[in-house]
Amino acid sequence: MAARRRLVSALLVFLCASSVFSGAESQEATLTGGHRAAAVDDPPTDTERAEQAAEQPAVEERRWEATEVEEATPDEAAGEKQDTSAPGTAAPSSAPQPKDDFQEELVVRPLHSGDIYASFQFRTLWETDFTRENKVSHYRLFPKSLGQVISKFSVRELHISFTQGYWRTMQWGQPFLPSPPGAELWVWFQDSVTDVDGTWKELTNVLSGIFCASLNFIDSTNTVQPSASFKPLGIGNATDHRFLRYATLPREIVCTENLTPWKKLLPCGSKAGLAVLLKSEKLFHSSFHSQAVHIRPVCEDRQCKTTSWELRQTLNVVFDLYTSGQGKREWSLFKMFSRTLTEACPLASSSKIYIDVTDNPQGEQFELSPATALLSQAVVLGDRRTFSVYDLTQQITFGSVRSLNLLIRWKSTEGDMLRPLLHAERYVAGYGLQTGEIHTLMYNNHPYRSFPVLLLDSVPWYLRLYIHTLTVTSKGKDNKPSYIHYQPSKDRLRPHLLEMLVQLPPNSVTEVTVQFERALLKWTEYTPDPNHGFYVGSSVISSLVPSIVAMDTNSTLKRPLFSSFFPCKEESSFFVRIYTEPLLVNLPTPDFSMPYNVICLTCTVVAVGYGSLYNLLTRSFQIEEPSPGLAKRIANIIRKMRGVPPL
Amino acid sequence: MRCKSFRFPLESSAVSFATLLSSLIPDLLLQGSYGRKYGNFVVLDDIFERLCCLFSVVVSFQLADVITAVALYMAVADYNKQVFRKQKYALEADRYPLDCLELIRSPKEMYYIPLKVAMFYLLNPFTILCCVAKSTCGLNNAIIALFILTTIKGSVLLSAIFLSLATYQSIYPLTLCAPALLYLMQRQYIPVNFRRFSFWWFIAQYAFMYLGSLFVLVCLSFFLLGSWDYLPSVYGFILSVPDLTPNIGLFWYFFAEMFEHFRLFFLCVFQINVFFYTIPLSVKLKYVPPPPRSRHQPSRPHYATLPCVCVCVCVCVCVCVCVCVCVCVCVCVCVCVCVCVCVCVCVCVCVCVCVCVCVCVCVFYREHPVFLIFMQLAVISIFKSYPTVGDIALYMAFIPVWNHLHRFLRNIFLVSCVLLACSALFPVLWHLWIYAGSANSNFYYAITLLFNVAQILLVSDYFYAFLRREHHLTYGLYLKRKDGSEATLVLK
Repeated sequence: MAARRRLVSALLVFLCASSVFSGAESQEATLTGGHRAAAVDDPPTDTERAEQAAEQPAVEERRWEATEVEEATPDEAAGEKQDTSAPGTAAPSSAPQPKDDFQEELVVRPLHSGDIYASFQFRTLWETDFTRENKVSHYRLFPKSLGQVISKFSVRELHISFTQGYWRTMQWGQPFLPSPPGAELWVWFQDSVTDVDGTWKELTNVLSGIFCASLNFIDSTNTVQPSASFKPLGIGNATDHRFLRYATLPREIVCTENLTPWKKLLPCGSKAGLAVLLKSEKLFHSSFHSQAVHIRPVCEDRQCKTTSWELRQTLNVVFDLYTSGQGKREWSLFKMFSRTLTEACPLASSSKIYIDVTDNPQGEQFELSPATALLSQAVVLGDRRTFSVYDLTQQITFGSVRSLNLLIRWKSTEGDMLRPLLHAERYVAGYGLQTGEIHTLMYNNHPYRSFPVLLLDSVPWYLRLYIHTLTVTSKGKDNKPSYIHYQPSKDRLRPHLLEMLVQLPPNSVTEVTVQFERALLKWTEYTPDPNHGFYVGSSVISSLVPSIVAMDTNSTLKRPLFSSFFPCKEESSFFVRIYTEPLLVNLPTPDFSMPYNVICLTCTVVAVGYGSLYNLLTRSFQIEEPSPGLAKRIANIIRKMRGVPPL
Repeated sequence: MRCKSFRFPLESSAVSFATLLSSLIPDLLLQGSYGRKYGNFVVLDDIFERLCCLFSVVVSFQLADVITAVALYMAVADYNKQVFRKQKYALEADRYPLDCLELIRSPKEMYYIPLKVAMFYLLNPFTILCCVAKSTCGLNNAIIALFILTTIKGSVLLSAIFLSLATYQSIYPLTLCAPALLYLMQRQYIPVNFRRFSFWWFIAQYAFMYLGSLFVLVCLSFFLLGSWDYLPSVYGFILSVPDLTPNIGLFWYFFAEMFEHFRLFFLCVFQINVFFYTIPLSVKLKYVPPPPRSRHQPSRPHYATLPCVCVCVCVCVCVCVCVCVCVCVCVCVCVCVCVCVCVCVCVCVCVCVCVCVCVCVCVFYREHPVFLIFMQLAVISIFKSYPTVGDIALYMAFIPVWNHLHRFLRNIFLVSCVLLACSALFPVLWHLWIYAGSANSNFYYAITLLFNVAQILLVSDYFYAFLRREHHLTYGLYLKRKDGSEATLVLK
């Protein structure tokens, strides 16, 4: 008996021990798994790195102030394809390069309407290869969830954006990173992927989970393969658009639940650095909110011998003067985000705030406090802009109060914005629920240069485009597109895809119209609010717009993140992508309350047809005989049973 | 080069030419590529539509209507000659009862019938609408009219070719092969007899010509396109009814409101509806041997039982097949529903038609194939998946041919009133639903229901009148009861 008890206690002890061990293992696993935890685990190297990072940008900043961008360009640009602004390139003598690097940046641009535009950019660069055979397992700054997605689905490039509101180009100018209302996802897969559609389906479902969004509604009916509009932004010029998938969900509503997982991808989360400003109650109390994730491979060094993966998280927000600013033309970080800044993200190699002061060289438009001595110039979107720079990695930025609360106070209300060279709008014409016409207007505001634009339209199948009614007119004359790619829709399978290369004459409006017919759907295919209408995603207009100033074709230079997203191939033009408004189209609806009635009534009619024909087919004409009386009938039945002939 | 598409609601046909053209001309012009699919049906995927395109560019749709009218004129003129000759022989053989002389058709009243047929077709508002809307239905009608003409003229090869063309466009004219076979055999004095070699030989000949030309057409399409994708796009589209655009038929609202798990079952039931009347109709419209000239009535004609059996067997087979297929599909969910529908409906149709052709042709000798054609056209136009007003115009053109039946029609006044009222109400309720927004889909749907009921009543009324006249021609016009009082005829 005692022996048995001992045995039991020994077993218990063993079980406890093993559970403790396994617990420890799992703890280890989480530590190594989470890159943030790993970073905290290793404080000495981290502080070293932070010191390095603190020194380097200061050096760069001075250097950058001294030398103009254009001066540096011709010297260094020759023969170099692309490079990144990794800190190692600026100071090659510094000790072993960190394999990964994180930068953060906030650009604030006061808009002429009195609104204010804030653009956050967070960039994580990691010199690794997700596609190689042995899986990448040790993650530090790069979020593991996305890394696994890249390696599992063989993604070459991934761009995803969630946007609430519509960017008003004519009032606000061009955004640094355009995005259409709703959700947009476009992915280039590696050439090794065989079943692209299957992979795409899986990928959208996984991303749907990662970002808490309805990306799982992306299926073949809203996915297209643009032939020309979406080229890879990273290295490698893939041209086979079989590996490209593009989808938008214009109905998607963006809210806190999408922001939280997005913030979790940042190395510092929302605990430190610029990300502390991202408070959802303020961010969503705005007229435009857009958050995006861009993953692409970029060159690590000048010769592009090694590649690294770039994860760029951006968040653009426009605060409205009247709803957020209470009508007073006065902005501060606290007023915008209800937070002030106290430190940079300790993991970041660079952490800066840029205030666009181009229109305010002498401070006559608005007053900026605290003032900064650092100024920088950058060529962005075909225009040379001047920025005041606040470097958060330097303690002096925070002053004596140990917190930075930028304040912009307008002095005068007048001011003129340079009209954007290209903008577009779209609407549906016609009345009734049978046909309609989609009008797309493209404005070229350049006084003397014409330039080509690529127009991409993806229209759901239930709007049946009459492609023969497609007209392109500019200045009252027919404008023949030099390239048209049209893929007709298939009911319940794929949408229409229309891509056109149109030359926009100088100072003109080009109108593209196409008529369509509305389909009646099955009652289960309507949305829960069918009379609200159906959304048609934005048209995408991609163009190389002639630049007023020479663009910086050399990406080896240390440039602010916001000006280095779209690779620039030539000096004379810059790449612009514009999204038009999504359309809201009403479709005819059946009566949802009466499926039973319809089934019954239609079947009745069919039965009437069947019955009357059956009647005539199976019966024959006979002379009507008066029916015998009841007694006679009963008597006949009895006689029949007796086997006697009836009466 | 642009085709301005005028699309009247009544004309929202599946293969409306406006849509067809709309998708293909600029595509051709701007891209120089072909073989693209537009909507559900394949544009240019099909040699017929390619010809249609050329046809429409070169000449207009009026020509198709004129061809139809001329073909109908000639066909009916020829048919009337034969009817008259047969009637003359019957009179000479003294086959009609004595009191039926007022049922005998006179050459004077038959003289204008072909002209009336042509005018009925050309001046029918439905034809005009169809022509204005540039619906392919006009071309379809032209081919069917040519098929009828060649059949009545007795040209076996041309009949088979035109029938295969019509089948190639939309599969429903398949059922017309039964009356065509009957008529041609009747014309060539081939006895319809199982045991006769000449009968089988003729069926084989016709089947070879029909299937051969169909095969040539299908293969030609394949060689032009290089893929079989057009088959599901064209025939799958007709059979599985994915396009629910409102039209004058029964399908669109029914399948828009259908519960998803019953869709396949009802699809099979509705599609088979078009095909399974062929057998019993062929059996019923058979040659009745004249009774001996005695005055007493046979107690019950025996031939009534066979159509009954046929109908029952047909219904049973169809329902069984439907249920089986539905169950199968429910079990293997992964199978593509569309393909399943196509396959199962095809199988059902093939089974039905084979049975129909074999049974009815083999067992009986048909006397009235032209009336059978009329009935089939009417049934097709009522129960097809995407009916247009052009289909109605085609079978309504035959109404003057049966003007000798008018004295037996029971509710022609009611039916014609309903048809007229519905035709007027279609555009009104369409406007109220789609443009004014003051009515909803149920209003328009109610009118389609009523319109179809009226059509069914019209067809069954003509069928009734035809059968009744045949009965009178056999048994005398003024029938007496056993006790000598005046009798009333009832269907029993």
